[in-house]
Amino acid sequence: MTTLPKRIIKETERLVSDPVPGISAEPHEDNLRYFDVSIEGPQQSAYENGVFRLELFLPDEYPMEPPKVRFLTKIYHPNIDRLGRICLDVLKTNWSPALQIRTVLLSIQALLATPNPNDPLANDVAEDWIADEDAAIAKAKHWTALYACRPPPPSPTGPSETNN
Amino acid sequence: MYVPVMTSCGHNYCYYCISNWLNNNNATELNCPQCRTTIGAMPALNVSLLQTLESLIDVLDKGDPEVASLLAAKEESMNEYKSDVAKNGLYRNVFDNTAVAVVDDDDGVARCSNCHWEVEGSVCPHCHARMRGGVEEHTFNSDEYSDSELEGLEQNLDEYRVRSAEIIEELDSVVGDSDESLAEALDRRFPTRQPRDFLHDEVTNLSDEYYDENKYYRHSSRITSTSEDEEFDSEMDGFIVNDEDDRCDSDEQTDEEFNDVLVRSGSIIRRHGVHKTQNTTGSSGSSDSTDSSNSEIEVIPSTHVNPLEEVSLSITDDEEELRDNRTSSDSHNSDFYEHNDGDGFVSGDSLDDSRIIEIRQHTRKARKKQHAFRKRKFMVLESDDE
Repeated sequence: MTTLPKRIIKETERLVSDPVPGISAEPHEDNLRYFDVSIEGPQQSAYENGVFRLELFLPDEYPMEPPKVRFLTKIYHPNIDRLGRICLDVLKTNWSPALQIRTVLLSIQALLATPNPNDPLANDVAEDWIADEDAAIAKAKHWTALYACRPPPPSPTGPSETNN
Repeated sequence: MYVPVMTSCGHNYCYYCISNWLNNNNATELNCPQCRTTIGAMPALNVSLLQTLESLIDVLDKGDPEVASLLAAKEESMNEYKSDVAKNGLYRNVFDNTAVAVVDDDDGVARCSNCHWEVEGSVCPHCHARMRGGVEEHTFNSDEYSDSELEGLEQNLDEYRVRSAEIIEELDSVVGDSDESLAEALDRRFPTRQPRDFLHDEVTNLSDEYYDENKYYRHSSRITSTSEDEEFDSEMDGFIVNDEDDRCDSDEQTDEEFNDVLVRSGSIIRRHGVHKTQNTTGSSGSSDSTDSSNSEIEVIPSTHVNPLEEVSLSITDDEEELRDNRTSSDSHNSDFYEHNDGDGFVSGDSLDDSRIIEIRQHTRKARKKQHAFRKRKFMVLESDDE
């Protein structure tokens, strides 16, 4: 692997030294462009108390191209499909090199707080969401408890195996 | 940041970085990474920021190897910028290589504003310019006209519709009466009308009693086919001369060979026969065919496409004459060649050298006759129709 761009090194350093509350991102040791990410469910949302695991990859063209982010934990959300792909403008058309890993992860956390069923990726979830929001939120809470609520991880690799 | 440039929205970037972004960004708009404002003009070199940078560098310890590498990198970036300026290629020409898709009002097709090529997608397939702002959907914009103008346009359209309906009605009535030629009616209705020559002439030559709507159209189609025939004749002219040269040597041919020639000249004979029919005012079927070769002629498909196809072929005296010519090859009659219009195939056995010159002279004359004959032909056809 060629030398890592200065920008990625700086971003990584800052993510570790000055982490965003509720978000952690650590690069893999064998690939510094690949990050293990966990995001806490925002308070007063259906995903409260959940800890969601994601993977993040910085393509070669980063920061001219957006990072690739995917949910690993199952989640009931209209803008996140069964494979964990995320429908978020800053990850696609609205990417800007002024954005960083931390801002992207913050955007994802904000998306958990405000699901947008009118621009869905998981159509079935969005339909449920529009038809009966309360029931959908209840189901999201149930899924969060089922898949994302692990008691404080007993070991560093604790929550990963069961959540796939 | 070695070469600071500032966008129109006031944000500063390294020249290399912003150039990279503007060229790599697949979005339709060139935009500022900070505020997403569309960048319409090239970011300009921020000289004051550059001076600040220089003064900062001055403070640094030049002996430090890190500072040395920094200065080398700065030098490299500055040279790159200068060379881009020199070769007029700032920002890799991204501002020249972009265009706006303009939708053609006439056909609704989006076109590249650089080269007017039809644009599909976000890149011009001709000049490879990226489309800024995407391909906009341009539909009829009622704002281009005021309400009153639109009403006026609609009224005009209605008036035209009513008027054209009136004209059609009027023409129908005129044609129905049929005691006035359509050409005259049209002239009267539209005084400024310029009659198309061939139509007008032919039409007025024909007597009025043939006018009804359908016949008028049939006339016009026939007139057209006549002119085609004449073109065909002129093409055949050169061919005949050669043909004569080839054939004139063989004075004697067998009956079979002659029949073969007859087959090919079937159309001439037909025309000939009709000529006769006309003289005898439509006495079609006055067949006195006694020879087998004559009956054979009846079923020969004509090699010419001419308007006489539907007229039944009648064996006439002239063809008897033709048969006589065959049996007594010495008694040539130059009239025969005249009647045969000089086009098509002429049988070789009926020619001898002394006649060729004469025939050639006749050919010209015959063509004139033929022309006059064609005009008369219409009369025949019409009387047949009655």
